[in-house]
Amino acid sequence: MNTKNEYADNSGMLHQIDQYLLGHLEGEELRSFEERLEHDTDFRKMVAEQRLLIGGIEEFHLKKQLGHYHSQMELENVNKKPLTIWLAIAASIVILIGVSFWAVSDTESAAQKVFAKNFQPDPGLPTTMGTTSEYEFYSGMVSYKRKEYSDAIAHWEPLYSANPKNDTLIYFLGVAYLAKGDHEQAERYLKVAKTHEESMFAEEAIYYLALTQLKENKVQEAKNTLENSSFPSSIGLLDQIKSLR
Amino acid sequence: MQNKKHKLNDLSSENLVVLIKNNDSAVLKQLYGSNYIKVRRYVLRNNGDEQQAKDVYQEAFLAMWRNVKDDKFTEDSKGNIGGYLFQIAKYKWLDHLRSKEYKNTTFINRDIEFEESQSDEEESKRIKIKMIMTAVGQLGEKCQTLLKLFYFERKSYKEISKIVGMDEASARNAKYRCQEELKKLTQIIPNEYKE
Repeated sequence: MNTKNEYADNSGMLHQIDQYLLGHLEGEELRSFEERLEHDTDFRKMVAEQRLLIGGIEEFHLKKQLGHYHSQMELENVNKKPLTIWLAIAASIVILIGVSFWAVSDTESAAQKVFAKNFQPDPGLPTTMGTTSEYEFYSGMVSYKRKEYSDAIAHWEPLYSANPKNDTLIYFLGVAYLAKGDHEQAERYLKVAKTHEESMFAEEAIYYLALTQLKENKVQEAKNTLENSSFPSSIGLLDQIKSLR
Repeated sequence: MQNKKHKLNDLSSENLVVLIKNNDSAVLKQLYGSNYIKVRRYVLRNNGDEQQAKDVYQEAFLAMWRNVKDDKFTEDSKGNIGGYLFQIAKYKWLDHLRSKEYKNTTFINRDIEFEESQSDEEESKRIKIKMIMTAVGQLGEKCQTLLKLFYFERKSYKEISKIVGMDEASARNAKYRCQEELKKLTQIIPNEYKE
């Protein structure tokens, strides 16, 4: 095939030019490359052209990236909530807890029933390649959506050790463990996720943490977890467990 | 993702320059996020609106990045990188205000350069780069992704092959073909930038 021959002829040199322009050539290789650059005019022209080509590709993508940075920046600023809402919710929850104190029931199975009735894994994030640099994260997301939770966790845990502060990652690790049935690990991650109050997943983290605690029959802890949440699902959940003990 | 995330404040300016040259996404994002407020305030206080603040900032950011790549940013002459970025944005905005027909211009296709006027050589280089950028936009999505992974994100063929689900040799071959296609496209683009 024609393209193959062409490829074989050209690719070696092009590869070396790329290596040079991306700063990967060293020692003897670099030295002889530079020597050729100095003496061979055609070669110099080729390198200059490739430099422009790379520059154009990079700038195209950086420009696109800036649009993402901007919308992310705006999103992060919007996510801060006014304090008054928190106070109103907190007050109403205190009353709910007061009422629930009187209610008695068979908590062991009831708490787990509430869990079973309510638990549905987070639908996950859209996995559009090309809009983000975190491919490893998104290939985990593909597994997650296929309900292959162990697989997703295998993708994400190494990322977590490299980025222990990534709130999105922590949250989805928690939900994946919960969906997989490992409540201890789920609780561990979701508790951390809950501390990221600025996260776009902060409220969901509270909701899933409470569900985890219900699954473990820790009704009172679940109530405490939900206490201050203004998230509709969390308020609904608290409503369902207020009579449990 | 073997490279860890860098925190802006912990970096020496030499390291910062290297990371910017390598398009380290964590660093670029932090740099972007930490300097916008100042530029925005400057533009809004000087007859600009939100959209113009964003446009002038993104242009300035690209100019900063290009200058760092071309070794035109040296710390001793320009102060820190955030200040440098602000200066570029400020000059660009002032330039915009000074231009006679500024009410009708959008910033999208304007390219005011920071500081020294350009030599002919640099001018023709900019024109070529813009043509290449237009051509990249005309490539198929797969080619765009491959070239982005290799040149913008600086991934190895091994990493790329995992991401796109090809073996290494095919990924390399595909990237080569995409690059050839890009070169062809660059040559046939009707040259709207030439005068």
